[in-house]
Amino acid sequence: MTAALAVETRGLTRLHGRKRALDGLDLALPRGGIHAVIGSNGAGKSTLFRLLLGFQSPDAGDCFVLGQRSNSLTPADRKRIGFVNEEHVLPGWARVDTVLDVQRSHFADRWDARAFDAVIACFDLSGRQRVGQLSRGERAGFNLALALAQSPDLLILDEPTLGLDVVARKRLLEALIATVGEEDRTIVYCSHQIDEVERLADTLVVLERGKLASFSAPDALCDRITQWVADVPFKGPYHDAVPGLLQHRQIDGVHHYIVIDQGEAFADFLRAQGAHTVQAMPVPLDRAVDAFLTRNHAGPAR
Amino acid sequence: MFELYKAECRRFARWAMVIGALHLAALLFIDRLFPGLRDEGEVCDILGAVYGVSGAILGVYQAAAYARMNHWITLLHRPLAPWRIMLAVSGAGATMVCAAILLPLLLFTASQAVQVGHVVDARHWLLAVAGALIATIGFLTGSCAALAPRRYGWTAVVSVAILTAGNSAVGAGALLCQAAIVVILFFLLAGAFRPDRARAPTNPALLALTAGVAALSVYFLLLIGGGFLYQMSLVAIGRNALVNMPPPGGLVEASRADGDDLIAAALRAAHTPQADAVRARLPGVDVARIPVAMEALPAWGELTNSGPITFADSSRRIEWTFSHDARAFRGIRQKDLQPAGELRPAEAFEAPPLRVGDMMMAGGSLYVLDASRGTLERRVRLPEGELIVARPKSVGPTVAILGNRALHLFDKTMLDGAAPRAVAVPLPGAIGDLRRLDLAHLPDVTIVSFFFGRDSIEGPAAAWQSVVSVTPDGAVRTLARRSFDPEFSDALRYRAYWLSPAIHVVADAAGKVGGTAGPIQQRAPVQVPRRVWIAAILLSILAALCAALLARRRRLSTTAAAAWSLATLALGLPMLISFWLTGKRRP
Repeated sequence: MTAALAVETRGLTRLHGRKRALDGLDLALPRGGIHAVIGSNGAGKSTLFRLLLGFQSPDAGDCFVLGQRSNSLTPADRKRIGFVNEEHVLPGWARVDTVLDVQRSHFADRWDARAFDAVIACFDLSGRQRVGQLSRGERAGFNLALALAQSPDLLILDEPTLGLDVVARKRLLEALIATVGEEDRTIVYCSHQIDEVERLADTLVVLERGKLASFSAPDALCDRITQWVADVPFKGPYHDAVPGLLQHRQIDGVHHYIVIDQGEAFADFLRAQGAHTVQAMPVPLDRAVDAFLTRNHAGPAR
Repeated sequence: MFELYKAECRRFARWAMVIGALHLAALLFIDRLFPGLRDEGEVCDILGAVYGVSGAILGVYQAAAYARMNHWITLLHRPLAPWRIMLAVSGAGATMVCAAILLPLLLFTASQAVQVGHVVDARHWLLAVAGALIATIGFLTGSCAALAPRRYGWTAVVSVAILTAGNSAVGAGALLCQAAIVVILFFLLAGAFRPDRARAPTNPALLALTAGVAALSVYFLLLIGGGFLYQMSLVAIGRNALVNMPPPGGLVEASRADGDDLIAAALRAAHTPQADAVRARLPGVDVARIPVAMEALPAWGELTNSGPITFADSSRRIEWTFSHDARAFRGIRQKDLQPAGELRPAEAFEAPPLRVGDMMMAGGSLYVLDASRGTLERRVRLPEGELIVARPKSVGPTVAILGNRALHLFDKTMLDGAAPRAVAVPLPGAIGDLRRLDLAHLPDVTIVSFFFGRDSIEGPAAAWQSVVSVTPDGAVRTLARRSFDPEFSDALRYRAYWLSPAIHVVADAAGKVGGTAGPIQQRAPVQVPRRVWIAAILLSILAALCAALLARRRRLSTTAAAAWSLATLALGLPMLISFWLTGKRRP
């Protein structure tokens, strides 16, 4: 394990029955910055986090967090790792104050009241309220405030904005941005919201069927993906014959090809297929990710 | 950790208070409605079961809520060792269970102690502690079942249920046994309380404990389930001696026979002139069945009563209740509910008395209440060291009193205070093996049939019958003796041995630990056929080989594979199944 890495996996494999939730995943996330992990449902994101935190054991391979093997994390290691899950699970029977007291007692030497107050100020919470009475957005804000107040070296956020309304999402992201910018902290952020990823992430990790499909900066991924609009007669070429094809749509007789890692040579390919006009267009990140993730999915997308 | 404990206590505090208040109200209500019901052993057993189940429900409720993955991560992903989190969370649950059970029991006992009409001994306070311990056992068992992997989480329930219900411990010994079970469950729970709940403990000691408990449970299930399946198979083919027509001259038929037929059959089989002569005189004679040894006799300091401890002296209108602390009966006058002193025989009670009709048996003595003088008079005293083990039975002109060494036939007049004249018929076998006792009075001689073989039909004990004649001057002569061939095969009768001799010894010892060596436990050693031992050895070797193969398939280290194989060699098939349950195959 390299000390400069926040997260490292080597050939990490985890089976769920016969399905490979993670399939020989090799991943190395450097310390510092926000690393976004995206992937379609079942790509293995949550499984990866459970393995990283030692709550599941790998069937093959190894994983390390902050230089420590995941299945032998000590209480001192856990103190340096914050985790927020998508359900924002907190004891619903407890009062906000009670949860706060417990967390504060466990992280007394690292507790950052300023960070907690900064986040919680965005939400209208009362200490006497039971956690079960909080709205999902309030619970998410409280959960994130607790995680940030722990001053973790590594913060893992597993779809923290899932199911939140626009206002709550905005508040949560603002809180996150406001508190992490000044810290030397690593954040691993999993989300299906590409606009959030675009706004936050320094690195984009794309998981597909348990494997690492892409690891780059968000812009770098966009640079690799291009949309070509071509006026090809009839049905156009067979999909298997299109190099780097991620997505194909035919709108009003005009073919739209989203392809990866294809240069100007793709225009020649289209012309060779009988295209009268060919036009290349940049692809925004959300469409690039959508095309990237749907390329192997069954269905009418292509 | 303490903050977590406090938070979890607060979570259940309100429920504990409500349940505790209802519990106390129920105890007071029941005592008011049915005074003396607390002295019934069965009532205590039912209450114990209720406490255990209540604890288990809370244990499952609390643990199952945390067992879901995200909740589990939230609970355990904190800078505390898992065992400390367990101590805080489960400790808080156990505290609340104890509070809801123990405090009402102590308050109830205290309320009785300050009332005049009740006898409260030290054992009653200990009984309250036993209630709390049983509830804690239930709580920890429920927690273990909910948190341990499904493959073997249930095994704790089986072992705890059988060990708790089957243990014969009394008094403080019972508390120690319950405390020992709590300690075992604590470590089992510690083994399950780890981030990756799908895996067995990695700590070798905790893994050994988990696998050992699983093996014990599997052994019990194979013992009970295997016996049941075997019996059902025989029923299906119409050859089950207990359900279908038993073969003539066999053990089952003999155990169901009328007394005169049983004695006549033994005499017929003897083929001696004396036996034939007695047999010829039997028709028309009443044959009485004498009770055999009780399962449990009263013991000093026992937490629940083995029998009634209260009786009323109607002539003086005094209700007497036995106090273990005073070793005497304490009286309450019925007219004004004021104390009426103590009642004890001139010589101290050897053992807590047990009322049998108008008499009272205690140790080797039999007492009657002298209504005119209001005193306890000893009518019978068996020889030094011998105990009365069954209710006396009046048969013709005699009273038959079974001791643990002999059957004593007293003249009935001794009940009226006459000097006891007795004939002692030595038991030809161990009292714990005595299955049936029949007696017939002929004009000049008494015939006694001893039928030995408790646990002999489906169990391993030998079954045999001895018929003796006893003359009025005490001469005992054996008329007949015969053995019975069991209807069921050795595979069924000796399954406790061939399944796993080592676990059989452990389970047997666990059932007896903390208990008094009562007469029922005085038994002849079981003669296990050599073929059963050979089967046990072969099965263990085969199981050990399978364990080695399984270890190889799971790619265990050489040390781990050797440990599992040796453990399986020692504990047999149940350990192999335990290994299969507790491990997980690596892809």
